[in-house]
Amino acid sequence: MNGAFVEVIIEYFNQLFSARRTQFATTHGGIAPMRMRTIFDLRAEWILVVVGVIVGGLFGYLALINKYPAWIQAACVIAGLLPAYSRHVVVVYVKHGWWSATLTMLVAAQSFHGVEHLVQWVQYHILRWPFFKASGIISAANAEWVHFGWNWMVLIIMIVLVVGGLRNPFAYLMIAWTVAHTAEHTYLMWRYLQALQELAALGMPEVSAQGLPGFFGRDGWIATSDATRNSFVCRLPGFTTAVRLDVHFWWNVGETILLILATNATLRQRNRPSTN
Amino acid sequence: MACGGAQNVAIPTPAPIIATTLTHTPFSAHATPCGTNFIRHELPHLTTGDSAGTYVYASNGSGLAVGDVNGDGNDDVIFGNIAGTVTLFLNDGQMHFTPISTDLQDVRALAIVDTDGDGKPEVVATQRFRRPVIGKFNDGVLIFHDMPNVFSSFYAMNWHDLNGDGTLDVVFGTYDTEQLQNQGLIFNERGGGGIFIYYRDGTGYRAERLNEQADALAIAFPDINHDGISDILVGNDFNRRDMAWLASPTGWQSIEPFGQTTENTMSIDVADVFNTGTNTIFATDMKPYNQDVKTMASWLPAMKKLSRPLTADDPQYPENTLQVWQNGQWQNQAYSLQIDASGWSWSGKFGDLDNDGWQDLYVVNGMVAKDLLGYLPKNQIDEPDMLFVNNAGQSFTRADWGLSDSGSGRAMTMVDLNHDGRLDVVVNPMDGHAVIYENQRCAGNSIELRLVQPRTANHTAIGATIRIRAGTQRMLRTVRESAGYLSSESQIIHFGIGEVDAATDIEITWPDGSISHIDTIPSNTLTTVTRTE
Repeated sequence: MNGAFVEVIIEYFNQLFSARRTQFATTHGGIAPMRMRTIFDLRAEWILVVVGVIVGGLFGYLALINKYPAWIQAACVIAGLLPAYSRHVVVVYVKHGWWSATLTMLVAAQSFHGVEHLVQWVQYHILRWPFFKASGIISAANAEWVHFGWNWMVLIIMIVLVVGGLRNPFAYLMIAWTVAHTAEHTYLMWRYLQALQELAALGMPEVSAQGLPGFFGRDGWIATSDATRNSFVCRLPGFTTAVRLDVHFWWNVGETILLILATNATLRQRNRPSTN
Repeated sequence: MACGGAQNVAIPTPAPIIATTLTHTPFSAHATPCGTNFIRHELPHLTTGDSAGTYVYASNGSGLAVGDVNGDGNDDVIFGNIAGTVTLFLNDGQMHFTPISTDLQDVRALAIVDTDGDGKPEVVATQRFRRPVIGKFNDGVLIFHDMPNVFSSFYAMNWHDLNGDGTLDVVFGTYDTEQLQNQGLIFNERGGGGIFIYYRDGTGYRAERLNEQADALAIAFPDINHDGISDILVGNDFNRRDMAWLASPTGWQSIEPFGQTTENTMSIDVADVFNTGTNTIFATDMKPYNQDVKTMASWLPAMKKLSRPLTADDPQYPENTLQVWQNGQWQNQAYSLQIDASGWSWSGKFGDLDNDGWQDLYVVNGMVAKDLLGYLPKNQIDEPDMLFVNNAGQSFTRADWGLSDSGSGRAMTMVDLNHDGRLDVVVNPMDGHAVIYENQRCAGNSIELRLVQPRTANHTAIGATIRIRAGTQRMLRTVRESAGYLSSESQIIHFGIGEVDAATDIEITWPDGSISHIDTIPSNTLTTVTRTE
C-alpha cells in the first residue's frame, strides 16, 4: 500500500467525520455526480478482477483439497475480489467525493448481505437443508453478534448518507425499515447475551444461544406476548408464523430494495440536466 | 408394513337400529361447597425412578388407570411405578380411597379393561423389560400373571375391537431407544420391536406385526379418513415419525395423514373440541410456554441433545399439534389457537372441567433426569401444569383453577370419582406423590352415560360413539380404554351441557356399527344405557 493510497483513505475519513451539509452541497456542486451503474462497474479494474479471481480461486482450491469448511473456500474467492473493489471505491472517492464512495460501499455490501440471505433461503426452502446448515455463503458469519453489528453499521451509515443528501421517500422509508430491523437485532442480541449469562450460571457456557426468536415470526415476541395475543397483528401474514430464516430474509430483501431505489432516485436527480 | 388380511379389519355393514333400556341415577349432592378451584389431595403412592436418582427413560414415569375393579359402581384408581411398587386405590365414591399394595414394579402403561369378556375388568400392565401382565382383583388382592401368547416388552398400549368380532384386541408399541440402551444390539437380534396388534383368539391372542421399529408413547384409534371405521395412530418419541394405519378391506394400510406433526410425541387425545360432531386429534410435545431468557436457558442444553434440526419439508415440529379435519384434510391449528406450547408436556387431554359445554385442555408437564438435566437445581425442569379453558371453540385462555401443581406430571386422566357430575383429575407424577384434584366448580349441568353390551365380550362398549344435542350445541364422545400418555379412561362418559336442563337427540353408535336413539336424558344424572339385543 503506497503513501498516496493512505492519504486518500485519511482524507476520506477526515471528510466523513467533519461532514456538514454545506460541504456535501459543495461536493455535489464541485464534483461530477456519480451514476447508478458506477457502483457495480468494475470494468476499469478488470486486471485486478481477473488476478483476484485466479488467486482467490487458487486459495479456495487449496482450502478445498485441505478439507477446510466450504465457507472458507468461498471466503477465499470473495477475498480475491476485494482489492479490485477497494480500488474501485477509491476511484469513486477521487472522482465523486466521499459521499458517493460511502454510498458505493453500502450498496455493494448490503447487496452482498442480501445475497447471503437469499442463499440461506434457497438452502432451506429449495435445497431442503436443515436450519443449522442453511447459513449462507460465509456461514461462520451467521452469528448473532455479526448481525447485530452489521445492522447498527448500516443504520449509522444510512443516517450519515441521508444527512449528506440521500433524501427521497425511499430513503426515509429505508431509514424507518433499518431502524426497525436494527431494533429487532438489538432485542435478539440482548436476549442472546442474557441467555449466555444464564447458561454460564448453570455451568453450561459451551451451549450456544444462537437462534432464539425475536419480535417477529414463529414464537417471536408478537406471537407469544399477552399484549398481542389474539390481536389483528397475529393474523397478518407471516408476522407470527414465519420461521426466523424467512423473517430475516424479508428484512434484508426490503432493506436492499429500498436502498437501491433510494440511491437510484437521488443519483438520477443529481444527474438530471439543469433546466436553467 | 401391514401384512394382515381382510379378516383382521372391521368393515361395518348397514346399521341396524338397536333398542336400549335406560336407568337414571341422580348425581350425588356436592360433597364440598361450590368454589372456583379444584382441591388437591395427595395419595400415599410415590412413583420413583431410582434410589440413586432418576435418569433418562426411567424418568418417563409410569401410567395410571381408572375403572371399577371391585364392581361397586365406583371408578377405582391404580398408579404405576418404576422403582417402587404399583398401588391400587379402591374408591368408595366419596373421595375416600383404600390403598391395596402389589409387588409389581417397572410398569409403563396400565389399563383396567375386561379382556376376557367375563364382565369383570382386569388390570393390564406393560413393563419396561418384561412381557405384559394381567391381574385379577379377588378377595382384596391383586395378583398378576403373564399375558398369554405375548412375549415382548412393550411400552404403550390401547384396547379396541379392531376386527369387529365383539372381543377386545390390543395394540402394543415398543420403545426401542430404551430397549437398545438396556439390551444393546441383541435387542435387534432378538427380533426388535415395533407396533403389534394382538387379536383376541379364544383364551389367548394372535399377533399381527404392523412394523418393526417404534418409540411408541401413545396409541389411539381415531377415524383418520372419516369412513366410519377406527384406524390406528401411534405417537413416537425422538424424531421417529408418528405412524398411522388405515383399516381397509385389504388389511392395515400405512399412511402419513398429517402435513405437520409433533416431533417427540408424548401423548395423543381424540376429542370434539369445537362441538362440530367431528373429532380433532391433539398431541403433546416439548415446548416451553414462557419464552423468557431464564426458561429458554434452562431448556437449551437438553433440547440441543434431544432435538434434531428440521429441514423445511420435515413435517415434525417440537410443539403440540391439534389436527382439525377441514376441507377433506387434517390441518394443525394448535399454533394459531395458542395451545402449541405447554412446557415439557406429557399427558394432555380434553374434558369439560367447568360443565359449560366446551371441552377444556389440561396438560401435565415437567422433567426430572440426573443425566439430562444435571445442570439444573434438583435435576429438573419445574413448570406449572397447563390448563387452557375453551372459549366456546373460538380460543383458549390459560387458567389455574388450582390445577397447576402436580409436580413432574406424567400420566393424567379426568374422571368423576364422587358421582357429582364434575370431572375430577388424577395425576401420577414422577418423583412425587399421586394427586387427585377434586372438582369444586359448579358452573353448569352435566350428564354421564355408561354403555353396557351384556351379550358381547366388549361389555363396556369400547369404541362406541355418543352424539348428543345440548341446546344449540352438538357434542361427540367416544368410549375409549386409553388416551393421553399411559393413562386409561373411565368407561363412564361425561358431557358438560351448561345451563341446559336435558340432553336431546342422543345417538349411540355401538362398536358393531348398530345405532340406538334416545330422545332425552335429564341433566345431572348418570344414565346406564343397556343394549337389549
